[in-house]
Amino acid sequence: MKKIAALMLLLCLLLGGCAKSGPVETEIFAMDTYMRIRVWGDSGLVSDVCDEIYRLETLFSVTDEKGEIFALNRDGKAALSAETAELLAKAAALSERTGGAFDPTVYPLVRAWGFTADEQRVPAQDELSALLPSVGVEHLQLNGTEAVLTGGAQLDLGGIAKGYTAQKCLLYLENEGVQTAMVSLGGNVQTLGTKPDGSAWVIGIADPNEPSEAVATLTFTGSMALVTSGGYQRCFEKDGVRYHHILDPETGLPAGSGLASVTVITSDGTTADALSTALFVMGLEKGAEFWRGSDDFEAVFITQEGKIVATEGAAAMLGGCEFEVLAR
Amino acid sequence: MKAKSWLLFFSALCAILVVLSAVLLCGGKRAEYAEVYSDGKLIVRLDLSKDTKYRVDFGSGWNLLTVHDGKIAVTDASCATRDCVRHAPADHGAPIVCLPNRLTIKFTDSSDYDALIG
Repeated sequence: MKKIAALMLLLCLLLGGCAKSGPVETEIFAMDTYMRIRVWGDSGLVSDVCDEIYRLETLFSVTDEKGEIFALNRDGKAALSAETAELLAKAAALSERTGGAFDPTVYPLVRAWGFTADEQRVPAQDELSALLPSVGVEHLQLNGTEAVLTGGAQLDLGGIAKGYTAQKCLLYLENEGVQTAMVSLGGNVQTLGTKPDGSAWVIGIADPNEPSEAVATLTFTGSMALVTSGGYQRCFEKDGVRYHHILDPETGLPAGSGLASVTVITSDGTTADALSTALFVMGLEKGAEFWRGSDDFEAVFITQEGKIVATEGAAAMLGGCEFEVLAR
Repeated sequence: MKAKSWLLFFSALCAILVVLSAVLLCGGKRAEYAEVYSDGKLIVRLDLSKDTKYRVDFGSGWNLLTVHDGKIAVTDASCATRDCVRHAPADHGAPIVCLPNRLTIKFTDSSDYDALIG
């Protein structure tokens, strides 16, 4: 009889263990992308996060007349909120750190290529050459929350705003006492804490040739920011040539660094976002050198030939694929 | 003797539960259904085993969905970018998204990972 009781107890424990206390989840379209928010907590917090995303979307938009970046681009100067000023300061610092490979002042180029209005075109070289002098973070002057743009410069925070937003959302949730959450904002994923069942986060890296499929997975526990920049994410074809949206600030052309995508893994979403763009522009060789000179991120490079190269730290998390390891 | 019967009964029950859990948790890779959402609202669930065409009309545009050979694709759309049309036919994995029309096609039993970046 005792055996039966023990078995019944074991069964109850098993069933109890299987019972899901799942996350509250929602999906929204914002910042020109598809977003998923999963929170192991109150559903009201998910709603708060969505509101926060919409608010930041307005602030950082280049097309929303109510936005601060729109006003700054239009007037050449603006009094900013603390958040926009903070993001601009980070953008400027990351631009300097990457030697301009990430540059928030590429908006004139982005517009010339028609990526903002979804009216893509191939601008003439003369047109690009005329725009290049206005590109460069030296044209952005920040004095507290006052910003000034010089030399005809205009900002596009598309390469950093989603990372900053993910970071802010998770910070908000953490301050509200949430222990586990995940936001997936287009190519940006950021996790908070460990899942209640203790299992690891498993994040797929999109196959550049078939972006709905994972070419590899990254497995880890705890809080992490992962951002992928890939030429396949937004592109168009003209006369048999494919042009993508990640522009090289030096040439004004889509970065032709030989990479199909770069995934950056680090603790800070803003940094991950900007560095993934920068490494894509730099290419594998320069990107590897940049990583060797840094100590705050890991990366997975996928070349146009499909070769996967992972930095030492990323290699420890990488699965489901063949890869080479970059040593320090 | 009676105790032994109970023991056998519970052992069998546990085995069934384990198998059932494995099937439910791991699932097959190919999804059975594709769920079509408009701006986050489910508008139709399509059986991927039945070849069909389904047109989704919005106030400002439309998408033509085609289910063929167990896969779904957006075969035509009113949007300017037509990224959704370029997306290969799929039967699992990350959602197919048409950003301009705010259309999402999700697969019901295909999640091998928490999220897909890229």
